Amino acid sequence: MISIQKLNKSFGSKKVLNDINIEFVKGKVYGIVGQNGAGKSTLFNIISGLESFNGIIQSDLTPLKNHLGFLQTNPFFFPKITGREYLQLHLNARNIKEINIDESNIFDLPLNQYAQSYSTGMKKKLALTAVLIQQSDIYILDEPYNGVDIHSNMIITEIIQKLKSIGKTVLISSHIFSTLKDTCDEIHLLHEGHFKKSVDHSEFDLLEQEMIEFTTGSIIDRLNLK
Amino acid sequence: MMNRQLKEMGLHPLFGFFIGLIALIGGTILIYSKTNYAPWIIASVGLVIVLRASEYNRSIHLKSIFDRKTFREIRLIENLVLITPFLIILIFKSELLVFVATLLISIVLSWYESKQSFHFTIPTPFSRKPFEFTTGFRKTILMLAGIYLLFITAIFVGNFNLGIFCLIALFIALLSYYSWPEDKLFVWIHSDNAANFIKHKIKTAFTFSSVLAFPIIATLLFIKPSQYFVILTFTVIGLLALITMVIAKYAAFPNKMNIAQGLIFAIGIVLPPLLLGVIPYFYTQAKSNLKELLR
Repeated sequence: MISIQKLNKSFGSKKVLNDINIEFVKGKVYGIVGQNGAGKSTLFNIISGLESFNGIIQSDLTPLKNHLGFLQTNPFFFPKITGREYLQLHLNARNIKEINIDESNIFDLPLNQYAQSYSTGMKKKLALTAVLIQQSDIYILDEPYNGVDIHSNMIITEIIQKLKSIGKTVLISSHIFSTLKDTCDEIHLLHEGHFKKSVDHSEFDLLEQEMIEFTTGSIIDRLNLK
Repeated sequence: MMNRQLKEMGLHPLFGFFIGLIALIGGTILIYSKTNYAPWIIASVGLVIVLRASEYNRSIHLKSIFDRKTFREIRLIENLVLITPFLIILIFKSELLVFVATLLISIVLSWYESKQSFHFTIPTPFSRKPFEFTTGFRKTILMLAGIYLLFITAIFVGNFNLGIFCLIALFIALLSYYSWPEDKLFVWIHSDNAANFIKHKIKTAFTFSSVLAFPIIATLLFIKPSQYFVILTFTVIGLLALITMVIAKYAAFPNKMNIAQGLIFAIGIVLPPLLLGVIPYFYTQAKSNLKELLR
C-alpha cells in the first residue's frame, strides 16, 4: 500500500503538484490521466524517489523503491549495450539470478543487437520486459503503450491484468483512454497539479465523455475544416 | 553544442576554446618532434573530427529542418569550420600536398552520411556485468587492439619502457569507461545501499581491469622479473587511479566531474601518495550523493 498525503512539488516558481492526497492499495490498477505537463511523470518520479518533494509518502513496503518497477516514458539506453545486457543489468541490480532471459523475451526482441538501434516501440518493450523481470510488488508504468504495435498493445493489457490477478499494484498513465478502461479499477484525472476527478469502473465512460468535451469543446471548429 | 558542453564542465566557452588552441599548438609541436608522419597524423585527427559531424541522427535532424540545398551548405560550412585549425597548421608548416588532400576530403565528407543499418555486435567478455566495461570495451576496441599490438612489438624488440607505456595507456583507456554519469534510474534500480553500491562498482572495475591488464603485467614480469618493482608500482597506481575515477564519478553524480574535482583527481594521479587522501575524500562525497537514491 502507498499512502500519499499533502504532496507538493515545485520547479522554481512553477507549482507542478499541489496538495495531492491519494492511496494505492494492493491488487488494484490505477490509471492517471491528464494533459501533457499535468504532472503525471513528476508524480511517478516522486513516488519512485527520483525527485524531492514536500509532503508525506508512506508504505508498508520498506524501502519502497526496492519494491517498485518503474517504466519511464522515454527509457534511457546506453550506447553499445545489447538488449540482453540491458536485461542482465536490471537483474544484477536486484541480485536476481533465477530468471532465464530468453524465456522472458515475450516480445521476441532481437536481444543480441544494440538496444540503441531498436525502434521506439522495441525500446519501450525492452524497458517493460526489464521492469517485469525485476519481480516487484508495485509497478509504475508511464505511457506503456507509447509507440508499440497492436499485438504488443494486447500483450501489455494482458500483462497488466495478470499483475492485478497476482496481487500486484499497478499505476499507469496513458493517453489512450480505451487501454485504461480495459485495465484499471480507478482512474484519476490530474489537472494543473491536483486530482480534479477520481472515478471507479462504473463511471469510466462518463469521465471519458467529460474529458472529450473539456478537451476538444469547439477547438476543432476553429480549424474551419472543409 | 560545444558551448553548452564547456559550460557544463564549468568552463567559460572562450576559456575552453583557448585551452583547445593551446592543446592544438602543443600537440602539433609534440607530434612534429616525435615523427616524420606528423602532417598525416594532424590531417587524420582533423578528418576524424569532421567525420563525427556526419553522424546519422544528426543528419536526419538537420534534413528534417532544412531543405536539401541548405542542408548541404550547412554540412559544407561545418566541415570547413572544423578542419580550418588543422589546415592553418598544415599551411604554416608548408605541407601543401597534405593541405590540399585534407581540404578536398573534408569537402567530400560533407556529402557523406554514416548509416545506421549495419547491425554488428562486438563480442565482449564483460556481458554478464553491464554496463561500464561492456560499453567501454566496445567503444575502445580499436584502441585496445592498438595497445596490445604495440605491446607485442615492445616484446619482440625487447623495449621494456614501451611495455610499461602500454600498461599506462591501457589504464588511461579504462579510466574513460567511467568518464560520464549514467541516467539516475540506473543507480536507482539497485537494491544495494550507497556504500555497497560503490563497493560493488569498485570490485567490478578492479576485477575487469585486472583481466585486461593481466596479459601485459604477466608478460612483463616473465620477461623482466628484475623489474618487478617498476611493473607492480605502475599496476598499483593504475588500479588506484581507476578506483579513484569510479568514486569521483559518483562524487559528482548526477553531473560530470567539475573543474575542481577534475583538478583534485589530476593532482592525485600526478602525486600517487595523495590518492590515499583523495580516495576517502571522494568516497565521502559519493556516499552522501547517492544516499537519497539508494536508501
